[in-house]
Amino acid sequence: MLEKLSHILFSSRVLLPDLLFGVVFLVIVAAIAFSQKLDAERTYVLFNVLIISVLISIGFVFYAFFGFYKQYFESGSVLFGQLIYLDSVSLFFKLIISIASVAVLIHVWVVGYKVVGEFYAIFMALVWGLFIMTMTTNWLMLYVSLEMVSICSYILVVFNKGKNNSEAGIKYLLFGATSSAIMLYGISLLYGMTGTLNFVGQEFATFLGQNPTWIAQIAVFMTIGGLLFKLSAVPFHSWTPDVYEATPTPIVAFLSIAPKAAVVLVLIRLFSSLSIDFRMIMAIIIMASITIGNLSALWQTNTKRMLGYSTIAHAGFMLVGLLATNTIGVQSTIFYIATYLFITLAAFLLIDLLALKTESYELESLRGLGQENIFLGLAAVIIMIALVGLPPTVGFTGKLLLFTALWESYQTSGSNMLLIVLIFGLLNTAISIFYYIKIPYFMIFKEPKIGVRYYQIGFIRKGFLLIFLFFIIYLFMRPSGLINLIESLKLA
Amino acid sequence: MSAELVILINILFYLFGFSFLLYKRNQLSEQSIGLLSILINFIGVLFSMGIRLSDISGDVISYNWFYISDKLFTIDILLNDLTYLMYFLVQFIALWVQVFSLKYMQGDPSFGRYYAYLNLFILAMIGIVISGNLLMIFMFWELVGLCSYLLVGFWYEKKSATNAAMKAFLVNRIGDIGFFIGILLVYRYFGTLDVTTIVNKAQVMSAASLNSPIITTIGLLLFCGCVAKSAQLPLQVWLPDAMEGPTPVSALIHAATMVAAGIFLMARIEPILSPNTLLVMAVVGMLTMFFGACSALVQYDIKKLLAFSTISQLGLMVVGIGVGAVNTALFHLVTHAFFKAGLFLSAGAVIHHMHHEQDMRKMGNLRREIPIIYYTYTICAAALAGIPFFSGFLSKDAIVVAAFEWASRQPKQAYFIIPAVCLVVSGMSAYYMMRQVFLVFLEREDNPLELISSSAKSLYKNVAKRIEGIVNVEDDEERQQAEIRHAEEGDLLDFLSDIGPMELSSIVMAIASIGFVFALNPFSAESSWFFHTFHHEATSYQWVAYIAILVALNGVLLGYIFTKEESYRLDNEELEPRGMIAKFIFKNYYLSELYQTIFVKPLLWISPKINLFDRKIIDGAVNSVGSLTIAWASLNYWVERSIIDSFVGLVANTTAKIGSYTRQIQNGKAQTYIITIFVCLVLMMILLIIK
Repeated sequence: MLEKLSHILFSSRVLLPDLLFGVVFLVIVAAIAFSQKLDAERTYVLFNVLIISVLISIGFVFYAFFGFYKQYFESGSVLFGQLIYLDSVSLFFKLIISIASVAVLIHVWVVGYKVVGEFYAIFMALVWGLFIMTMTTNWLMLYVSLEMVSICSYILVVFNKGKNNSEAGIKYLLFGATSSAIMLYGISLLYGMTGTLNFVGQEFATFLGQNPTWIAQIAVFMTIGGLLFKLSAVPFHSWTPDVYEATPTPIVAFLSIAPKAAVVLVLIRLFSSLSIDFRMIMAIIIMASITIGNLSALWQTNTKRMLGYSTIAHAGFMLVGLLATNTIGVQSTIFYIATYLFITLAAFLLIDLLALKTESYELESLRGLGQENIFLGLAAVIIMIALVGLPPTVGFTGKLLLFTALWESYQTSGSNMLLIVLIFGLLNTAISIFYYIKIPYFMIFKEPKIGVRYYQIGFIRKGFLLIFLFFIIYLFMRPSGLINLIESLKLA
Repeated sequence: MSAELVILINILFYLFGFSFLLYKRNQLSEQSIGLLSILINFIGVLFSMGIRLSDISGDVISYNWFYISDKLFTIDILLNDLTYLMYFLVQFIALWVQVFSLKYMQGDPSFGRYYAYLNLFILAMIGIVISGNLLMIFMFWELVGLCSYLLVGFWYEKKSATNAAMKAFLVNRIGDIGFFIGILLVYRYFGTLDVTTIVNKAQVMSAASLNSPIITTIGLLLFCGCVAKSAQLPLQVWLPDAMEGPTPVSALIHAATMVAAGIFLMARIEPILSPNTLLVMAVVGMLTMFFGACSALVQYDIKKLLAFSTISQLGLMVVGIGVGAVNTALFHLVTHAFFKAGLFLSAGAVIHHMHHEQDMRKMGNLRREIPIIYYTYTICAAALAGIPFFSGFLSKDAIVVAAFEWASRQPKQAYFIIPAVCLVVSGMSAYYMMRQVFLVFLEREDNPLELISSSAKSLYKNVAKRIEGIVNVEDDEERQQAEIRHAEEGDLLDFLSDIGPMELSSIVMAIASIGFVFALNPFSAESSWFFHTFHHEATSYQWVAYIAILVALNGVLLGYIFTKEESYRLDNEELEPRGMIAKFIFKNYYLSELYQTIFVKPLLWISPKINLFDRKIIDGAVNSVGSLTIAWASLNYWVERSIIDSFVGLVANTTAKIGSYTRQIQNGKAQTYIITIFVCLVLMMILLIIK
């Protein structure tokens, strides 16, 4: 008993920075609840305070982890029984999520979205949920964190209270609930088969292997359904375009990277201990995601919807490294996610900055904007090229590493399926040029409807976008730093 | 503070001065511009004096700059006595030139731009002085060239100024090509561009390898840079034209500092010059010196005369290096910098006084009007003429002695022609300086006939006055007495109150041209502080000094007599002197015209033809390749459209159909939407079971 108590105390101490999220969440909620409806100016002050508190708490987590708790995650430490598993990989993914969340908050401020105070509380909880997801190897904890993320996402999607929002939100909710149900069913099956909730242990692998393969495969497939829903991979993708079109852009930008990163980490951990061959299902999911995402995007006229389909395709690419089932594959997946972070945030920021002028996300409205502000024109070229995956951007490096890993895996295993996926990926990259390039094409080569009127964007907005552009180019020139960092992570 | 830090801060100051003045050139008042610029320069002078005290000598400070594969290129700062000397000299003269310009450039609409360029120039010149490798020297070399271009063409509204600027720039390019090839050869041969390393390697070389053709070639190519920048014989045409720039600029750039950069460069790399190169340099220097002096004899333009004299003196310095007496050449560089700057500044004051009239025939009698300038000018001219007690005598004498010594070591008697020409040129310089002083400052006597008539007139006037005076005696006498009294009291006060910025600068330069500044014994250059620092071995040839004094005094005398005679028949309207030879010399041997005919005209003739060739044939070829590509591309396009696109279209249309199907679901039927998942799930199960 005493031993258990001391373990709980130890665990809480290690997780102190994460608990801070809970405190901040409560403080924010209290602050909003007990403050009256304030006049505009003071509300503004309140929001600033909230932003700052959120930023500080996220920053504190990292300060604490890097400074004080290094010894606990060097070799990975198991906390709260087996509910929490903390190691350097989870820390790296927390870093990605934090960068995304900080960037999104700055995005909200820079573009000037009017949000109510509750937004920050919900956002806080969402980030917290994601953090927990990055450090769990337990089915139950995974399910809880996933639901935490999902529920917060449902709320954020309908925050604008518009008609479209409600429609998108209700679909998102129904779809999410269904996926969640499937996942829970899958988990129960797996628990029945293996008798353990911890999915990285030796126990899990051994017991799972004793079952008929196809039953195990179906159970695992059902289980990862909930994860695929977060990843918006086929066949759990249908909600994506609607939600992306209706939701405020910063939230979309966040949904397009942070939950996906966390989910991919869970998948990495799951596959590393999976004792059954799961590659065929993965191959089908990847090919379907890439193809459906890219081909649907071809005909879109709304930039946000187009980027929605594009994220489906990118979800497919993220899984390619897992299909390779070797260390290089996993590393290149992490690299791909880390770089996709900058690309996707930049892309959504760009269309938001464009929308400031045009007040519309339609492709047609972008005519000649690149002539009116050459900086935005160039930024569009760089970002879209990065999304396609061409040099001189980091998008190219990421795809190159993924396909190299896949090719090596094909060389060693000789499985034709991998070759087919490789060819599919390359072909789809070629196809994706057509719709990505449409944005800079409209901006630069089409004449504006009513003459060229020069359009200035503010220094802070420009500077914020420049940071992303810098990383997109810099990581192409000097990827070694990031690659070394990823190689130093101890993959379970 | 370490020396390199001081230099770095100093350079940053000038950079700041340049950019700030250029940026604010239209906002700031003239006073604040001048004050700021002079302040920066003054700090620079203080710094340069402070450095000497810190006493780190012969140091090379290297910073890594960049790699080309594994070849490291460095930024080197070479600190030795030569560096300190030039570092101080450049800034000191620049300071007084800036002070001078306050008055001279007053009211010029581009006052700020002028000072900004001056700052850039000082920066570049310091850069040359401190650079420890040839690549850096070359870069700053080009930068001073640019400043020269900008300042010669400063009054760009004048066509002649822009032409002169262009000429200076292009002629310098020719020399720089040689210089650059020389640098590349140095890198090829020595494997480094670091001056100290090169010099050390050259010093341990055997005589045979130093005489090898490659070393000679390198030396000659590097000398090319000196030929263009220091206006040596075939390329000296740009310097007289460069007088189109403002006079203080001529004093700073085209007399004291930039044109001496060639000499400085040669002094830096002297150990790698082979005996053959040195001989070539001596000969080139001799010819330049002689022809420059000849041209100076017949000029009417006050500044052009000084320009030709500069060419001649630079030739003398090159001779000094050519005969192996580097330090005498440097000594002459220093003394020349002061007295030539003083001459140019005084000339500037004269031009200012004459309201931008530069023709000496229209001057005269200025001794009375601007006495201070008269004295400063005479002192500087005496220094240039080589009169004892003035600085020029010391340095010229040292070079001539060194040349005699050198000639006596040579196998043939013919080599004595070089010291002989030095002496002759020394006499010529005394002649033309006397001529200039006479024409500008002294009272000019008129033709004897006119003299008689005018004296008759004045006699008549005096007589008339007397008669008038007798009528009212008292008034007149009183007034006269008052005038006399006033004149006695006010002389010194008037004299002092005349001193403005221009006079002050001229006075400083004149003081620096007096022999005692350099050596306590005004007859012996060996005793000067300069040769204590820069060691120079010389056996003393007393008789050379006496001959030199004799020649100089003779030159002055002849100059006085001939100019007096010449002044009777001066024709103000005439553009060129009469007589074939005089015209030939006056026109600088028609070198410019020669280059125009040989190089420029054929170029102008052939370039339209080449243009035509380019347009018709090369462009035609390119265009036909282009049309072929277009044809091929349209074929490709057709293939793409009809075959590939239809395939893509098929695929895409299929997807679009699926897309429209899902869209239909999204239009309100969320349940179908969820059913899709279950269908997929079931399909997956079936797939797995059959497999």
